[in-house]
Amino acid sequence: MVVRVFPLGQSGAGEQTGTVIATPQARPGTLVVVDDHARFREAVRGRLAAAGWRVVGEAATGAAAIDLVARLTPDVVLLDVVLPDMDGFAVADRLAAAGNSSAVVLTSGHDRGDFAGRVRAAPVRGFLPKEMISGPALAALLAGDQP
Amino acid sequence: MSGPRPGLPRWAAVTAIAGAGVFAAVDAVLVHRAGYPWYQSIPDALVGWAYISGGVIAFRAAYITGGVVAFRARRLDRTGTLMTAIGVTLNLDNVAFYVHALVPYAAWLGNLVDPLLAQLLLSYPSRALRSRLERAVLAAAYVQVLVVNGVRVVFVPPNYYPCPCVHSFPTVHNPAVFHALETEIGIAYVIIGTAVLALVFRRWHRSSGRARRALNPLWFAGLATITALILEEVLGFAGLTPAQLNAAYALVTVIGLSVPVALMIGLVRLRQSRSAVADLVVALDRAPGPAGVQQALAAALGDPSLTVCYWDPETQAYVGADGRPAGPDPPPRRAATEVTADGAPLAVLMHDSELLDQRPLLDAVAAAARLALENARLQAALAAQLEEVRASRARIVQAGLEERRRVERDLHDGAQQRLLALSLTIAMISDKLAAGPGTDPDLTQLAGTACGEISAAIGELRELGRGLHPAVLTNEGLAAAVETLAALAPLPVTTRILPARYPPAVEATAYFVISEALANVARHAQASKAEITACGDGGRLAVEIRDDGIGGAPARGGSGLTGLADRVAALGGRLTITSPPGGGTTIRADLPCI
Repeated sequence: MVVRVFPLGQSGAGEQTGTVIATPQARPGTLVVVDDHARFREAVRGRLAAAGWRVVGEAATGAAAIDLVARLTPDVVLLDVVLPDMDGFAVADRLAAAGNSSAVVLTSGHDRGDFAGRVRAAPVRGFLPKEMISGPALAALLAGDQP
Repeated sequence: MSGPRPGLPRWAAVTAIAGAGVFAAVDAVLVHRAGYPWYQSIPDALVGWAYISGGVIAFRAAYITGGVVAFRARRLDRTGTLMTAIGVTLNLDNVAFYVHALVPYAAWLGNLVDPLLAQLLLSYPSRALRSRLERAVLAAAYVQVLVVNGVRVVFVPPNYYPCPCVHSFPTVHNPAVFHALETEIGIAYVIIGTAVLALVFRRWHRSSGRARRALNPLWFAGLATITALILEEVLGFAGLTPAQLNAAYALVTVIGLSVPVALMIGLVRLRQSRSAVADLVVALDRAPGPAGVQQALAAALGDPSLTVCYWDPETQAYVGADGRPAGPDPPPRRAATEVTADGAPLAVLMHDSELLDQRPLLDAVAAAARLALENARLQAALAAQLEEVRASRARIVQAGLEERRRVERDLHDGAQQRLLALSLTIAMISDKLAAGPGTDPDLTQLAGTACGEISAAIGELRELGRGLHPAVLTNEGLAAAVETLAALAPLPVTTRILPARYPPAVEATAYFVISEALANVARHAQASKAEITACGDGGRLAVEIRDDGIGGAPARGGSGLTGLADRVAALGGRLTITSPPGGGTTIRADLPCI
C-alpha cells in the first residue's frame, strides 16, 4: 500500500481538509459525473480536472449513468441524488447489483441530513455536498475520512 | 258523508250495542214463540245484532280516525251506514214474524239485505265502487229488490201470507203475475248473485300482498256468504220440505254472521294501524335527524328497505340524507310517495310497491312526518353544505402544502443549482489565483471572500427551502425530519417516533406542529428538556410535544399555535394545548390519515 502524505494547505487555499492518507483510489483517477444540470457538470469537470482528475464521461439521467458506468468502469462515480428519472440511491443500488467496482460518491444541493440514514445504508463510499466538491475533499472522502 | 261531524260518544255507542243486544234477545224469544225453531230464531237475531254493533263500531272508528285521515273516516261512516242498514233490515224481517202488520213490508224490503251486503263488500276496502260494471250490477240488484219485488208484493195471491194480517200495503190479488215475477226474481237473484260473487272474487284476486292479508277475513266471509245465499235461492226451486228449508236458512244465517265479525276484526286492525301513526309521532320526536326520521318511517310502515330523499331547492333535485344526489325514479318493485309542503316538493319516500295497497296508512304516516321531514331536509342541506366547506378547507390546506413543496423544489432545482455551479467556478478561480505565482494578494483575498459569500447564500437558500418544505420529510419521513429538528434545538430533545410513512399532508402538518412547538419551547417555556412522541395506528397520527417549562401558554391567541390549530382542523384533526402555570406545556395534534 502506497502512502503519500500531503502537507496541510498544499492542495488549495481555504480547504478545510487536514492530513490525508491517500489510498490507491485517493490518487486522482478516472471520473464519471452524473447530474442533470449541464452547467453544474461543467463546473465540476473544471474544478476536479484542475486537481488532476480525468473526467471520462458525463450523464444527465440515472439510466444513462448506469449504461455509461457499465461501459467505462471509472474509478469514481460522482452521483447527484436528485435525477429526473430515478434517484441516486436507486442508481447506486443498480450499479452494486451489477457488480460494478466503481466507487460511488453521492452529491446533492441538499445537505446530508436531508437524506439521514439512507446514505449510510446505500452501497456508496460517501456523501459530498455540492458546494464542497473539490479534489482534496473527494480524496479525503475516498480515503474514508467523511467531511 | 263529508266534512266534520260530531263524533259518536262512547256512552252512546255502548248504549246502542247493548240496546240492540237486548232487542235481539227479546226478538229471538218472540220469533220462537211465533212458531219458529230456536235454531232459526237465535241466528236471525244474532246476525241483526252483529250488523248493528259492527255499524256502531265503524261510526265510532270513523270518529276516532277522522282527525288523522279524513277520507278514511268518510269510508268508515259509509261502512257504518251500510252495516246499520243491513242490521235494521234484518230486524224488520224478524219483527214481521210477530208483528203481522209488517209482513207485506218485510216481504217487500227483506231482500234489501242482499244488495246492501253486495255494496258493502264491493266498497269497503277501497275508496268507492271502482268499475262501471260493479255499479251496473249493484243498480240491477237494487232495482230487483225495490221495484220488481215491490210490484210482486202488490200482486200477492189471496191467503198467501201464513197469517190473517191486516195491513196497509196496496194489494191487487193476481197470482199469475205474482208467480211470474217470483220466478223472474229468483232467476235474477242467482244471476246477479253470481255476478257479485265474481266481482268480489276479482277484487280479492287483484289485491296484493299486505292489503290481501289485511282483508282476507272479510273476503272469505263475503265469498262464503254470497255463495250460501245463492245456494239458498237455488234450493228454493228444489222442492224441499219447509223443515228442510228452515234448516238451510238457519245455516245460511250462521254463515252470514261471518261478514260482520270479519268487519269488526278489520276495524280492530285499523285501530292498530292508527296506533302505528301515533307511535311514529312519538318516534319522530325521540329520534330527530335524517337517519332517525328514515328509521321511524321504516318502522311505522313496516318496510325496513324504506329510504327518504329530500328536495334540494338549490339544485332543484332530490338528494339523499347524506346530501348526495338521488333520483326519484323508483327501481322495479319499488314505489315513490311524494310528500309536499304548501304545494312545494319536500321529500320522496322510496318504499316497497306493496305499500301502495295501504295508501291511507302511507298518507297518514307522510302527514304525521311532514314537519320532521322538513327539519330533516334542512339538516341534510346543512350537512351537505358543511361537508362542502370541510372538503374545500382541506383542499385549500392541501393545495397550500403542495404549493410550498413546489416552490421548494423550484428553488432547489433553479437558483440553488446555479449558485452551486457558480461556487465551484469561483473556487476554481480562487485555486488558480492561489497557485499562480505573482498574483495580487488582494485578488486572492477577494476570490476567497466571494467563495464565502456564495457559500453563505447557498446556506440561506437551503434554510429557506427547509422552512417551506423540508426535503428530508419527503425523502425520509417524519421520524428522520423530526430527528433533524431535535438536533438543531437549543435544548435536549428526546424523540420517540416510529419510522412509518403517512400521507404527505399529514406528515407536513405534523412536522410544522412539532417545528412551531419546539420554537415556542425555545422562546417562551424556559424548559430544560422536551420530549416528542408520534404514534400512528393506520387511520390516525397523534403527535405530542411535552416540555418541563413554566407552562401558562395561551390555548388560543395571536400565537403561531392558532394557525397550527386551523391547519390541523382543516385536515379534520384536533390540536389541544395543556399548559397549567408551572406545570409545563403539552401540545397534542390528532390527525386523521385521509
